[in-house]
Amino acid sequence: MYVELHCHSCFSFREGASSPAELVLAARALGYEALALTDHDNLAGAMEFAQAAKEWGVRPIIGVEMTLRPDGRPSGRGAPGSDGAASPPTHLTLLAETPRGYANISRLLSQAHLSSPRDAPALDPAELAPCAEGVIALSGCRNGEVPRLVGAGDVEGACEAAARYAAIFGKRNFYIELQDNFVRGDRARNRGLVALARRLGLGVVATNNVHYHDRARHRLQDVLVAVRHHSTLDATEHVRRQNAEFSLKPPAEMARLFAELPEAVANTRAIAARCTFDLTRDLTYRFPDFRAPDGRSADAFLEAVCFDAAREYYGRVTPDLERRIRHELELIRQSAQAGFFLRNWEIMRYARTHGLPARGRGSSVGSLVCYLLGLSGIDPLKYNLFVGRFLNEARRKEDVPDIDIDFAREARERIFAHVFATYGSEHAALVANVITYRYPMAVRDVGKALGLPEADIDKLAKRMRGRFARPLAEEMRAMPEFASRMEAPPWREFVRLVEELRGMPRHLGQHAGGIIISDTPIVEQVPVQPSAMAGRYICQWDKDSVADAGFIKMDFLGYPSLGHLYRALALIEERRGLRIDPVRIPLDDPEVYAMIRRGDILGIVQIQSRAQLQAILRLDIASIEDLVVQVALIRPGPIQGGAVNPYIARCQGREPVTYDHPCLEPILGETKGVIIFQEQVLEVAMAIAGFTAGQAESLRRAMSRKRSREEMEKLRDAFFAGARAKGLVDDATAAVIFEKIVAFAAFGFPKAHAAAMAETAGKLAWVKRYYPVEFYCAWLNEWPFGFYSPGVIVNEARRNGIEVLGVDVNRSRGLCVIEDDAVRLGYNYVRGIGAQTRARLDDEARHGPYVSLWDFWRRTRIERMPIERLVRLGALAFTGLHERALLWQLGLFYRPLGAQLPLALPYEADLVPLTEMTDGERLVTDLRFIEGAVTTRGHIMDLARGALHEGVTPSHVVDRMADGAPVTVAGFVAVRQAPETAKGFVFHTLEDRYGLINVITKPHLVARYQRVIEHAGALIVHGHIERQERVVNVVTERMELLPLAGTRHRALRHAAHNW
Amino acid sequence: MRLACVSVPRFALAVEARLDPRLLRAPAIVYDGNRVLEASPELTNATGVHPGQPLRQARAAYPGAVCVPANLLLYREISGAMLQALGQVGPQVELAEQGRAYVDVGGLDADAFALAGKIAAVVQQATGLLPSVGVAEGKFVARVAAALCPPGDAGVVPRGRERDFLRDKSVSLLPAAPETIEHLQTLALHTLGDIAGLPKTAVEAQFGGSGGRRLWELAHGIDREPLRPHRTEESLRERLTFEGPVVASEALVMAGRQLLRRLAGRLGRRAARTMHLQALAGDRLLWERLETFREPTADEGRMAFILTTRLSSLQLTEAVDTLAITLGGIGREAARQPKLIAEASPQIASLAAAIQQVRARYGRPVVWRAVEVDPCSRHPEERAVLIPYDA
Amino acid sequence: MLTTSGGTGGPDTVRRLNVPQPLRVEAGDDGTPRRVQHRGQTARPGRWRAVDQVRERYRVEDRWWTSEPVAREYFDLLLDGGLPFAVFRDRIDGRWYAQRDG
Repeated sequence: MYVELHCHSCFSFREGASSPAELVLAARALGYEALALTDHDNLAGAMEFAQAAKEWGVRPIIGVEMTLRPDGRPSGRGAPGSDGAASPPTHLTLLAETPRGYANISRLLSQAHLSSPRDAPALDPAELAPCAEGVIALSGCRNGEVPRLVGAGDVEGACEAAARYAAIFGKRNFYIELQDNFVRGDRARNRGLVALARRLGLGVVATNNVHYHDRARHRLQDVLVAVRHHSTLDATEHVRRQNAEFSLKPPAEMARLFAELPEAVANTRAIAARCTFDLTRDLTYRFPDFRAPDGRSADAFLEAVCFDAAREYYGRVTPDLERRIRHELELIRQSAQAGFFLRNWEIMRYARTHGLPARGRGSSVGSLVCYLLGLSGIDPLKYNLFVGRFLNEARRKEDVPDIDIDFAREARERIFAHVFATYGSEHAALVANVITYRYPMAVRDVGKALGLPEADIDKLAKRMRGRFARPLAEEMRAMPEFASRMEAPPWREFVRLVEELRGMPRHLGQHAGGIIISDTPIVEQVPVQPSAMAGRYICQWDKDSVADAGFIKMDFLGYPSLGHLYRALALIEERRGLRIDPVRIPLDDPEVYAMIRRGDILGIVQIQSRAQLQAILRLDIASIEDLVVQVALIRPGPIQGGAVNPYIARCQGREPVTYDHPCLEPILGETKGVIIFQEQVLEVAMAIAGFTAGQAESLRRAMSRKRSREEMEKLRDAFFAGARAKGLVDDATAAVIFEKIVAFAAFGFPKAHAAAMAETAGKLAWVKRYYPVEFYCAWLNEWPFGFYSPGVIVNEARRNGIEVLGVDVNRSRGLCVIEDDAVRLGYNYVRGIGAQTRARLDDEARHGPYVSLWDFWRRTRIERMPIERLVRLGALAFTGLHERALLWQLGLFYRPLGAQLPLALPYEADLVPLTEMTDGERLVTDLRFIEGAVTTRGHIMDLARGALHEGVTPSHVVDRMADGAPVTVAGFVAVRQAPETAKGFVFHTLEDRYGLINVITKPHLVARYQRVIEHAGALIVHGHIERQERVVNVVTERMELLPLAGTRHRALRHAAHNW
Repeated sequence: MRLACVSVPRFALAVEARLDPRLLRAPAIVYDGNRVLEASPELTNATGVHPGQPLRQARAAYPGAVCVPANLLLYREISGAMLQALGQVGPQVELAEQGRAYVDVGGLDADAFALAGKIAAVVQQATGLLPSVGVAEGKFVARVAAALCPPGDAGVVPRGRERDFLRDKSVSLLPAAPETIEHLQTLALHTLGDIAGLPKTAVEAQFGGSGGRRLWELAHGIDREPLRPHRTEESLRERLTFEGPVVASEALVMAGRQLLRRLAGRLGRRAARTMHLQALAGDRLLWERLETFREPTADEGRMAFILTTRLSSLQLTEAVDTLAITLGGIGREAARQPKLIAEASPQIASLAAAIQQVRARYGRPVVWRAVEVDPCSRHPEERAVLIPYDA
Repeated sequence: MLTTSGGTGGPDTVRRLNVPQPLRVEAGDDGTPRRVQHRGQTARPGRWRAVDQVRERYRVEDRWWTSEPVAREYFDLLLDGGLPFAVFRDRIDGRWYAQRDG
């Protein structure tokens, strides 16, 4: 029976048109017992293919179609209508027979990628010989060296080439590949190939060069080829496939096609039988074991490090402390991952010694060993954190604990550099991220290929970019100009092809922060290719394939809030000479919590969102533990799940604190009897049903995924059995507890992670309370991040008595700096001034202040546009001349760079009287040339003076109004939110001169005011007050645009919302 | 000298609106390639859409706008018709750009308003479009006068009153680069009067010698630019249509050569100055290119060489079904230097003569030439074409 | 024998060459032609000729995105007496055509 040995999936980027899963399902339906996957120059789809194949009972064979550089021999011009672009490089099909063979193929692919330009990998044929063991080679499709020479009639050249390959791989491992896709010239070429094989005594094998699992998919394949050539279907006739015969065909049909060559079909089964390598089992991956400097075993060394740290952190090791450490060490020893912990310890030691801000995150923060190794920086005993979620006895050996670490942005780049420096490209690689087609790009690519009018395609792509975009066909029917044309030939095909293209991979990008390290060379586990960043390498598998392969992934993620904290501490040291150790910042200062309770939390990323602010005003936050709950509870999941109100009600005493059973009191005490943390789910299951930590964790993980009905029943029965065995509660109470567990398990937040975030928030709050100037200056320099635009933060600073001064060439630097209790805006906030110009201005500023515009230009020699912007922003006000006079002066003496040196000619004669800019014009100039809607010469609302009638209520009065009172408010739109979880509600945060106003617009009004909501930079809202204790919202009844003098709303809205 | 400026506001939009009245009501954009050519008034004021802006930006600013592709051929024909009509009014007519022309009315003694009415009527009768007319001394003032009055109306600026007329007019009317105009407005010089009030030397120092002087003079209504009359010249046009749409450039080159041979025949001994190549699909212009020869030539070989280099490097993404070539700027009979070596051998000459007679006898092309065009095409019927054989 | 598109066409049309001509063919069960009614130069219906050998069999599929898609199966035949002859079956309307392989 025939086996397909040459098949491309969609991971042959812009060439294959079916996913590995579709190919496997089609193969199963057609009765294939085995199937080979041979994508172009990558194994990106190999693991996904292997997993799917095993699941559906088709034996997977791993292979690749390798592109080889021409070795200088003049290869004949491709046969007419040849396969794909008749490019000089040739193709060779390689199949992995043994694990050694797979490692060789992976290494060859890595060499190909590392030695050629990024998007055109090609292997030097000389490198085949050393890596030929365990590999079966087929002579390739039409573009193979042998088939191309036969097609061109150069029989001698073909024989010589075939003999060469036979010598490299061995006569038994090199087959002549015959393909008959009903393309003109196939039959003649196959006759030539068979003659050649007879002459050299080589086997022949039949393949169909499959590019799609089903005939109908050939249209998408044509489109993909057109996209690859950046052209249209009409213009790519010569490079597209001749017909639709490159599909996965029934084995019987293939047998009939090669009826006169039964051995070609028989050989496919013979080769398939020889290929015994199983990707899901035979990988030789081993995490680098830690060799202690003094020769001790990893476990012994780990124990020593832990106890030294314990003595340092806690003074003396109490029996209770020792028991917990030994418990965790024992778990680590059982799963032999001491090396993994120590590798992380090494990396964090490097970060600490080089002053790189870093902090652990995720469930690893709950482990005492992680704290002692300095991975988390959070003391689990202090927060009574439970380690079961991270380490428990049930963990299978290859079930890997994931240790995630947050770094400030620049620190992360240096950590990557360090890891690659220590392990090299042979042993470390970044995890890939497969970038897939989303609607907008699919619409553009298919539209261009079909040659549809660009204006329509552009309009459709924009329409599909919105978050609420419905499927393409629905959106087009809703648009009058498309609804009528949907049935015409090109558009009918267009809709079907866009749906098929959506979700297909486009190319390999880099994962956010995942990195894998291996003791055995990584290049033998998975092919590695250079990343966009020099000196870094990406493995061709994404995080799912890496997890399936059992590789240990370490996540280094960027966390700007950490950068904000460390920048502030650096400013404090620089300005006051006070060196503050971030670990030592107190987290129990009542002054800080008073500030938080007042709602003065803008700038503290973890707790500054609208929902957080409203919860803070209703809760009595007085300790770091309260902050931990606040961070974990106020998130879309719990809010939507209705978990927030019971907790708040119990905090305010409106609801009694009850427990379903006294034994739960120690577990749920800190959260007033409400299950909030994932650890609590485990502890409750262990207390009530007597589960071990491992069983409880698998219960929680099972519930967090959307399980089918019968699986939930299985879990329920196990729980009830355990509860009856323990005998603490009757069946009724057990049922109540089980329902609660199911409800909260879905979105529960690991308390360890919440503790890590809460500590950073607490430290930032302390800095904001005692060193506000440094806090705001650091925030401005760390931006862009967080929820609010710089304009809102600058106005908040002003309300707290801290002035933010405009740019001044004699005082400003590249970044914002502190100038005696005020923040001086830096050049980083002037639009159009790049890093080079900033550096240039910083250098020149050291040589003393400027005396005039002429002096400023002569010494800096920067471009005219930045100078004009600085002048218009009042950065040269020290000259005493107003902006327009300076601009006129600049026009008189400015000569572009490279022009002959200017003479200091007197130009006073040509000065002319010009009218000075009004305050309104200066404000508009600020908005136009300063980033993030920051204004240093007045408040945005000054522009609305004319439009506001007396009926408008300022924000500080709104806060005191009664529930239900009618009100009219007006303000600049600081934030506009329409989260999916809010089911159609739109939330505005307006800002007037005195503060922020929260506005809620109900769904039916959203539809009526759609244009105003989308385009308004400032709003007037008529509605009524909705009050809940100290929380005040304005509910919209009527809404209108607030015109601001001199600004076009689109520009303003853009300024406010472009962060 | 006294001029009349005749201009159809938003010419491209006006022409398209005649074909599709819907454009009058909805905000519309006429685009050429991926750039805005013309936009309706409510767009240019409210959302800042302006000609020359990338289409994608314009659509982002106003997603509701109706977009219509420009029909350059039609605009050229209508401008030509306008030119012809104005020829009856005054001896010297200059076509400044699509839809705007100047007529020298110095010699005519008729009252300015009556004259403007006559001009408007003539143009409307010839093109169906109603222009606005401005009469003044010098092109710039006439243009401003025309721009400021609605279609069918006329603006007359008596001699000597130019500066007063311009005093309160916006600087955006100046024929200057957008950056210069924005720079003026940044300096709060919003009207022409503001500029006129400044000393001449200061304006020259600020905007560069010649540029500054011209700005200052225009602000005073002084415009010494002469009228460049539009010399009507004869042009010859030939076109070939393909039965099946063609993408291969070899096919276009073959057809082009054939057209040139036919045009050279019609040229006889006269020389042409420009060659205008156009590739169309139906009546839609896909690609066009105007070639100007260094000196007027009648040499078919040179024209064929230029044609081949242009067409063979063409990357068409859409199938073409018609190729047209227009030789323009054809002058008087010129002395023609016979070639030193008689190229055509006697047999070819006699063959050509024979074919000429056969064709005359049957009145339609009888002798064809089979030419290989796209040898690698998968459709045999597209590999070669038959082209009528002209001597 | 040049088969032109038949249309007279004015002086400024470029006519296609090798336009397919309708033909009657008897095909075997596997779709390959057995006998062909060959018209030759004259206009009257020609006599049937047997097919000696099928030298090449290939399929062409294109222009599926336009209103006239192309889907043909070509056969390069050797008729009795060694006359080379190219035919194709249009897989959309199922009819047979002769086409000189230009």
